[in-house]
Amino acid sequence: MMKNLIILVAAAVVLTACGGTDNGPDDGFDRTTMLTSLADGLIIPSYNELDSDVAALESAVTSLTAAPSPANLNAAQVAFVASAMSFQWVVSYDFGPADNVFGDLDDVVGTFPANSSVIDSRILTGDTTTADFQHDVRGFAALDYLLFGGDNTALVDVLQGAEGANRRAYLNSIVRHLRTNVQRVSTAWSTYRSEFINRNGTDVGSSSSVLFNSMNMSHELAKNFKVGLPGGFRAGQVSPEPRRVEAYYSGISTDLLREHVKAIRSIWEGRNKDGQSLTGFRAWLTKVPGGDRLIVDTETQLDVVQTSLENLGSSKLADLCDQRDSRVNTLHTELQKLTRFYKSELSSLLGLSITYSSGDGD
Amino acid sequence: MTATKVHSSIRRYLSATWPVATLALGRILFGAVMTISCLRFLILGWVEDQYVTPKVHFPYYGFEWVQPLGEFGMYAVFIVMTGAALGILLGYQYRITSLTFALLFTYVELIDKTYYLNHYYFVSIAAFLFTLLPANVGWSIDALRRPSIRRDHVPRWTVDALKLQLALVYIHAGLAKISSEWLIDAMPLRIWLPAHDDLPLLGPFLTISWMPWVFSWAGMLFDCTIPFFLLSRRTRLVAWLAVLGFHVVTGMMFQIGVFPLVMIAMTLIFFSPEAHLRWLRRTTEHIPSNILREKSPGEFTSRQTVSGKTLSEKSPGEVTSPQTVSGKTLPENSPGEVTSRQTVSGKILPENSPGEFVSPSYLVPTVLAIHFFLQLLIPWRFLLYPGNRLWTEQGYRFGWRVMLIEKAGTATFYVRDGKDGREGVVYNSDFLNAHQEKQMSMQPDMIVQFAGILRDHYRRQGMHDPHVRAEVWVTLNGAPSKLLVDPQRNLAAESDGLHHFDWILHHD
Repeated sequence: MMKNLIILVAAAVVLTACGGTDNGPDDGFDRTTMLTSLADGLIIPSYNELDSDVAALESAVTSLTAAPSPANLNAAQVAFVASAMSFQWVVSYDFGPADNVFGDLDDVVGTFPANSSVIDSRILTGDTTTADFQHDVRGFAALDYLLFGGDNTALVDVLQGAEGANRRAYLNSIVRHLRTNVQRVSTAWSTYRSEFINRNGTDVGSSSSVLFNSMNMSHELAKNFKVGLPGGFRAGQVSPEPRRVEAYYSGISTDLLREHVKAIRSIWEGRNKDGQSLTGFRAWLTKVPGGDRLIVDTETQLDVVQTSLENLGSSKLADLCDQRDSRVNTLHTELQKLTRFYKSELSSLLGLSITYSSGDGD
Repeated sequence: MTATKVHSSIRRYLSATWPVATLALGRILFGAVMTISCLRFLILGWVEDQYVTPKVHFPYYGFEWVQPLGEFGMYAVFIVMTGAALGILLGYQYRITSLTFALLFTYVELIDKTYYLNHYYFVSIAAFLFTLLPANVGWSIDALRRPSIRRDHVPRWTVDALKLQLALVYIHAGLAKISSEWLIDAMPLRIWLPAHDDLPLLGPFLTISWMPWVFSWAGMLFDCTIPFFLLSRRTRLVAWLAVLGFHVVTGMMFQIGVFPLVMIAMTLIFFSPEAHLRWLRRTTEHIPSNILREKSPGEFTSRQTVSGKTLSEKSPGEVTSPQTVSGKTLPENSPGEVTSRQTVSGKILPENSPGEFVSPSYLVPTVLAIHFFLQLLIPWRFLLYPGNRLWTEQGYRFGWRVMLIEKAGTATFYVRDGKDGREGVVYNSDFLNAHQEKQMSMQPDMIVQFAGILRDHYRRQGMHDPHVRAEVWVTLNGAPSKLLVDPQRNLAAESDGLHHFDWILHHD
């Protein structure tokens, strides 16, 4: 018996030795290094920056409601733009600390478009509750509506006097809600960091898998909801719906989209917000068979997407959608082409799990 | 060989007996693992995720009428199934519980092919096999309650059927691995092994450049040969330890749920019946005898009575002599010995006694013969389809192709109004959960089913004659993505079925 087994093992070893020599060694990749690099160089700094921007936004909005004036409105608008831009850098980390009772941070403060009629009626009745699942009356989208939804003189007017009391209270309430939620996640990352780094496997629930999936959800969000829906490209839509853009009233949707796409690319490339090099999925790909080819394919497509985004120029995304400008369609198509490089090919080469919830495989 | 000789040797084989301990142990192990499996589904929320929440399902061709039962119904199904699995374990109302389990388990599997796994297919088969086998005539509550059904021996073919089914799984899994991709390129293990370098003990070795070839060859040789090593008495223990090691390692590496447990447990039936009897006695000696007494007053006063010796003392004329239980005279793999005992077994198997599960007729053996004949053919039906089976997956399922390929796809569907020509993109997540989307994105029969689902949905939305086309980019074993289906073909006009899908594009 033992003799048989020994022969069997020996045969396997000999055959293996013959097959294995002509292929280069597959050096292991240290996923802990990647997770540490991304946590410390990209994720945590992005949350910290958003946190301080939102703190500034809260104080600007509080000043505005305390003393409504064109100058204070302008200051609040400037602070809003800075916060909304910073928010694009955390959209892709919608896991771990971002999970909360009423949904993920993306849902709770990032749902768009704003539901202006419900906001108006809540202001009318003085309803400032933030503890429900109606996400489209709060967060960035609601602030976009309340801070930009009219000409500045009119906006300052409706905030003043006894008639403006409900509106001032509503503004204070939602900016407080935004601040609280961002701060909670940002703070939680300092303790979640070690858990994030320690879960260095590739299975469902490992940080690499979770980050990969969250990055892809973020990509789908940008492609489908920031471009596809306003552009009217979804099956069943009969025309563009420009009011579905991310920030319709301030008109900064194009900038937000560019920032969002850049933030996702930074995870893949391994770059911090200033463009300095970190260890990301790209570095991992250099260590697996077929990885170099996928790097070339992905970077080629990323450059095409980049060009499509630049081609939008300084036009408002909502206007381009409304005019059925072909540049929006091109952008949507190029983002779609990027999906397989970000998703199926990347997960296949790295051995990452695509599904979020588990289930048996075989 | 003349027809008479064939007939008489078949008759001789069908009359050969085997101690009941093996079949009873197989039943107990199967019931135990299935109980765990059902509880896992309930506890992990999979009933909800897989059968309640999804908006649409992907039924098997010919079984489109199989529908989920809603939240209450699906939970009820799983709770009853858990109870039935426990019934199998205990041998309680075995005919009812084993059939209930087999039907419910298979029903659940038929709802959605997204969740198809070879080991679920195995469970369905094993469950139906058990319904045909007299696995409750010993070591069961049924046998305690109704002594009339109690037997010390069962036909040998009942045990052999389980062994043959297990052997077929391994051998087919092994034969499927004999391909240049698996053996020469060591794909997909070259992708999978380094991804698991965080495993305890084994992890650091997995990044060694030649290790995927070791695993590929060892896996193929293991699968092809393990049934034979398990059958031989001399190699059995080492072989089973290899089974244990193999499944523990693959279980740690891959997300394959209870599959390792199923195989580790079920291969125990290859051991000798004396060993099985010993294990059963050891397991039941902690059960207080008064519990057993309560079940059947006056009949069974201790665990001993369940074993062969006491029994045969009580009714010497009815049962085979105790010697056969002790193993030395037991025919293991020697047909000659079976012949010598043939007359004895022929007599002791009562022909038509009430409650008797041991079928004296040819009915069950004939059903099993047909089953195994089909089992030999089904895995090879891919040969009827043109193209690379790993790419087209036509005739791929039900073939014991376990952990064979790394495949993933990105599928984008476009729906066009047949009247105004307006075309839009489908966001798959509007219809499918992540698991369904993942599986659909690389399997042609699911792609055409999804196209049908979209056609019907948009028609209901008021679209005229919806055309559905799909751009499906699939990567196989790490190769650059290629289009799986003709991106111009109106898939809304195609249907699922057993025919060759001429809209699948060639891989090479």
